[in-house]
Amino acid sequence: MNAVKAAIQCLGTGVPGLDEVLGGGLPEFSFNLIAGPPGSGKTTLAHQIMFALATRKRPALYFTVLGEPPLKMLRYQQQFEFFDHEQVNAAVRFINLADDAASGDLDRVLRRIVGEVEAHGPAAVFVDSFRSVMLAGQGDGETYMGVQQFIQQLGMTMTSWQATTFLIGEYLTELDPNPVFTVADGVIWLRQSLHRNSVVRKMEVTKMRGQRTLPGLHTFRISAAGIQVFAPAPVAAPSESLVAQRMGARLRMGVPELDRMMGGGLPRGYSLLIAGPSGSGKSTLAAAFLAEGARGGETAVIAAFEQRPNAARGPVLADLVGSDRIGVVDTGAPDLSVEAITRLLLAEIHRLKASRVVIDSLSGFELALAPTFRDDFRESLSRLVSSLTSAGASVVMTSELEDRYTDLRFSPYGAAFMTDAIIVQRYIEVDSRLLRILAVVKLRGSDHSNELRLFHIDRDGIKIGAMVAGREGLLGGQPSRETRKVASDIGVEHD
Amino acid sequence: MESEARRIQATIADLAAIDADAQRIAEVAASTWREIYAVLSPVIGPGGVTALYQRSLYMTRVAHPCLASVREDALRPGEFAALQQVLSQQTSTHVAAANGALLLTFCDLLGSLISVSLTERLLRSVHNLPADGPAVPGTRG
Repeated sequence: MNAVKAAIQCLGTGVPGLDEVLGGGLPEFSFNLIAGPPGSGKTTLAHQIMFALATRKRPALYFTVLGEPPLKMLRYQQQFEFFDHEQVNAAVRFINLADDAASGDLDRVLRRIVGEVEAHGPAAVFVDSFRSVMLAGQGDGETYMGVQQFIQQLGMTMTSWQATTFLIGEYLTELDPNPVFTVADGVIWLRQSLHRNSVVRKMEVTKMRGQRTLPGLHTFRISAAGIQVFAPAPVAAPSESLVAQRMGARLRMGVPELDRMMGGGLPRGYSLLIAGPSGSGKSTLAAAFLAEGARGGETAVIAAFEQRPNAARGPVLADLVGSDRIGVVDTGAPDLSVEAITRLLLAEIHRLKASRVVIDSLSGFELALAPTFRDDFRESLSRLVSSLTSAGASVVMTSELEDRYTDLRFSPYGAAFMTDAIIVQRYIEVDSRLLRILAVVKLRGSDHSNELRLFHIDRDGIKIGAMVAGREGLLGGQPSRETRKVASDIGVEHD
Repeated sequence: MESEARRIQATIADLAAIDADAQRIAEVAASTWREIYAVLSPVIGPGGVTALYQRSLYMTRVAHPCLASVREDALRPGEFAALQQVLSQQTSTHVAAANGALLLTFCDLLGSLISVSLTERLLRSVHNLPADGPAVPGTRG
């Protein structure tokens, strides 16, 4: 006999990012538990999923049991955009089980649920909260078995009625030998992680039968639109032909001499790190990169972490932002994670079909992160760069670099190895003046200049001057052999 | 606001206008309340409906002192016999006015908590009204 396996359909949860974490969606007719402490977003998650799953033909039933008074639940839940008044009593039905639960008779609660399910033939059933049911069951001298039987029967009945079911439970712990963990096909934990003074919401799918879920804790945010989960962005290594193609298509940097130093510009899909001390012109170079793209009709996205991004941007970029040629990613959230920024950047890249991305600066980025994410900054950053470049964007990041003249460093995060290209800027002292030099340190798979070039910044941007000839020890900050020619090369007057 | 409340209130006023006696109007009023209870209690719980009903009585009795004596009975969820009893002792115009005010207060209160549009949505199925045919009082609850 030819064995044809049962097809498990996956349902879209309507929660951005959650389907990816669940490995493609929620298995149809599954029996799930949404667990977490009070205030972790369980009821909101349940409502958001409910409004996504419910149709007039196959409605959703939301059983409320003691716990949060339904009046208040409705009052607060309707603040979310997904809460559609017109669906209430049509596709979405609320059923209060307070009386049945208060009787302490779990049989009666079950009969009532089954009765309503028979009457409405729902696609989805929610029981909020499951803890109230258990307490009710224990309150009247019921044994533990009573609760277990209740769960098993409920699970069986709901599956045979082809309803995807959600129990919402608080005060559960994973160590609790609660039978619900065994019976449930899926367990979604919502947590609030406290680190120093910051609180970050995290979600973990500890169990989802038949699904390849994304392991680990995923941050999520609750806004007016509801819950948004920041699942790790997919990373695909570019094929060799794609790399070759990108090599041929170089992006101009907005500084012609720099393009020549880079063998024609930045290969498309490359990541570039501009490292240098404070005030050396990293943001100016990044801005030139964006403006050059806009001149060629390209769009871009910027994530600015400077304290005064508008002032730092300058009028040209401000105009481009105003006309939506450059998208700006909101970097102000207190629970910011690298995944969140990655997701926001990717969304903007897709919206604007952007080819250029600027992150200014990594130092500001690290400070903007919620403290709990700072420990993993390096790993997360590496994933961010990979997912942005695999989306086809070319990424320019700036990195503040303390000028140390005893060693040659490119990034405080070891970010150097993860980028395809590096430009380093430094100060040198010549004739009692502070001059700037830059060099293309690395450009993977491409010829590039090895010169240390003087540059200065004027109203029109970065101007690259000559090599610093006849001197050595530039990277030490104090070149040793003296030539007066140097400063005149770049138009600096002598006293 | 409260077009559903107004609709329900209007039909009771209509009854008063066609010279129905107070007894009859009180029956329809109580039956309407039982329907409201039946529609709302699954959603906001029996306790929720009762609490709102009590509060509405409390707020309306200043303008309609006859409602003051209903309060005791209102502690029992879904019980509107006392309201019917009190109303049936008033003149027909009075019954319509007192019950109409109570209804509006109730809907206002619910609207302020869960929004007017959701209140309207929930009360849309209250249809124990003469417009649907002859009112049959007291068949639900």
